[in-house]
Amino acid sequence: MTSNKPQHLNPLAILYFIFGHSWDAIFLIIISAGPIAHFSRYIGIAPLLGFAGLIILIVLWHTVRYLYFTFEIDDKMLTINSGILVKKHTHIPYPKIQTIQHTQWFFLVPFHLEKLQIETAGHDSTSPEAVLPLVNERIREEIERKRMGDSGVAADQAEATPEQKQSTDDAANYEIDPHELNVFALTSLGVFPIIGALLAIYGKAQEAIPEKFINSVTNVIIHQSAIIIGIVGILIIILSIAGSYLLIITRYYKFRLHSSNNQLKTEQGMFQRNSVTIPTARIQALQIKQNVIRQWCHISTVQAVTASSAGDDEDDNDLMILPVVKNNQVFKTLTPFVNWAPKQFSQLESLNKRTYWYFIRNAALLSLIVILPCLYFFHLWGSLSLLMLPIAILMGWYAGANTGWKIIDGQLILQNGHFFSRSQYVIPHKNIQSFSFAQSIWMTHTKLAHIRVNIRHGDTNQEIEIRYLPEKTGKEIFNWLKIR
Amino acid sequence: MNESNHLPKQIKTVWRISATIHALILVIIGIVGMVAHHFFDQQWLLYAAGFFFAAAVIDFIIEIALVPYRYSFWLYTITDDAVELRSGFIFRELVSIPIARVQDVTLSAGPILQSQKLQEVRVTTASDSHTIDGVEPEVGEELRKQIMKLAVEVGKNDV
Repeated sequence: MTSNKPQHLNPLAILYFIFGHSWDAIFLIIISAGPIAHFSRYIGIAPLLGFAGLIILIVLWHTVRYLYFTFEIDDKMLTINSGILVKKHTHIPYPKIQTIQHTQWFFLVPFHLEKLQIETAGHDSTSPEAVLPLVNERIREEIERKRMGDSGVAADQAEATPEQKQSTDDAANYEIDPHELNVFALTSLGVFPIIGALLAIYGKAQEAIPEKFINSVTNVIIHQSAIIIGIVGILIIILSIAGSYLLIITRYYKFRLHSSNNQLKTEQGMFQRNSVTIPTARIQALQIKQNVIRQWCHISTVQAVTASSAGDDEDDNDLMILPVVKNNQVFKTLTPFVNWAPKQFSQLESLNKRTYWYFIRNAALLSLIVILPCLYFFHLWGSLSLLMLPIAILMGWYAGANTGWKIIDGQLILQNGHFFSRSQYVIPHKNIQSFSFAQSIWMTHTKLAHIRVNIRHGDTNQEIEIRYLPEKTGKEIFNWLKIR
Repeated sequence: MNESNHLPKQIKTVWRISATIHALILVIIGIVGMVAHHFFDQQWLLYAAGFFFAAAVIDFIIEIALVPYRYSFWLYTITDDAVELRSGFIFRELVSIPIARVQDVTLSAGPILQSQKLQEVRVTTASDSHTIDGVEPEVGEELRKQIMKLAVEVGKNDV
């Protein structure tokens, strides 16, 4: 095999480098515009020729970069060499790879070219440890083969449990149901901030109009212009809903999940197919999410919390496992892929209704921080901010009503609610890095406590907090967590 | 070694010295402001200097006043399999870090800590890190030994 020699990226990667640094190039051209024009005239050539020279220089620079960028796939590790002045060599042993992510634009499909990103659990950089901007698909296949070979050995060393061994040969597949994807896209809460912003603009516009027209123009025109603004506003709202709908559809189009050899592979996207591979044992926790509308529709989203930042950039770097699934199907669909997932939703323990008061009080107090200055500075218009108070109260009630917890089979299940969306976390005991039991001095009288659990998420830490649970239960969970 | 320990008494001196240094830094910025005012004659520089002097005094008073509070309500326990940190009186928190999850321990000491023969301990897990402001060198050594002992288990349950 020739794979032990340093290999280059596909030559088209030069274009990728240039495109990726186009802002630098544009900036360079703008700041050097004066000097180049001056210098060109000085040595007696057309200024345009001078610019052509600059562009050739930029292209040359990236070509040299391309020539210096090589990678080696040997038996033990992947090595990436890059840099012109500062030489950089990154070595990644295959067993340390957390995720392999590849993205492919539709126009690159015929050429079998794709972008490959490889991540380990290292915290040092925010970007992936290895990025191969444009390589043939077989490179990934080779790396995956090497990793699989190695991780098989590693699993044996770590004394895999019988179930894990059994599932080694099981392959499972899932593809998103187009109808469900539709429901998912329609129930996204992502449009609400846009609508909020539009309403604010509408308010401003309405405020501006009377000032200008009130004396000179009749009420009819004011009335009409209000109608026009109304229509425009509604149009923009419809457009933004359509936009957010299309965005979700293109992102999760033909979402597929595949698992074999204890590796989980997701694939998604319409114009750009994005795929992530991760060993199931490396998943730190499962997160089952629902916003309030999806709660009514009885659908949920399942994501994996992982130790690398592969996955959706826009979704907190969580790895999407099931974008949309009916509530009663969640764990039935999930268990073939993640063997340690619970078999069904557990009946969680929940808070005493009287405790909701604390959530409502906190949310209301927070909303006052915005409301009071608004009232003070904007008087009448500021009173609009009073609308936040009932919303905050509802949010507090929602947070209280959705708090839940349970310890089951070496896993801690925690559920909380934030901003009208509910998250349930299934966290295996071994993945909890540290935990704490917190109480204010007043809570010692009311016998309540907060429990906080820290898990690895992306390159940083994620704290999951369950608030105002009974002190006794809090201590029980804390003591359970202490068991080695 | 299973009972809760206060930080060593010397830590109060460390905190007082660092409070003084923080205040001094603010005072120096204020003095620079005054000097600049003398040369450039900009009125706002004088206000800025005044602000920094006030901040220095307030910061110093608060930090010094909080030293006994911090000392009496900050406790740590090192058991066979966990490091526990207890802090706060009004807002109480008990943090537990299983030693099996600890990735590394850093012992460090700046000039102030060195003068009091103390070391700062920073315990890092795969996700977060926790600091014990100062311990005697023997405690740091003991922690290091325990982590080495449990390192085998970490190998199995790594991220």
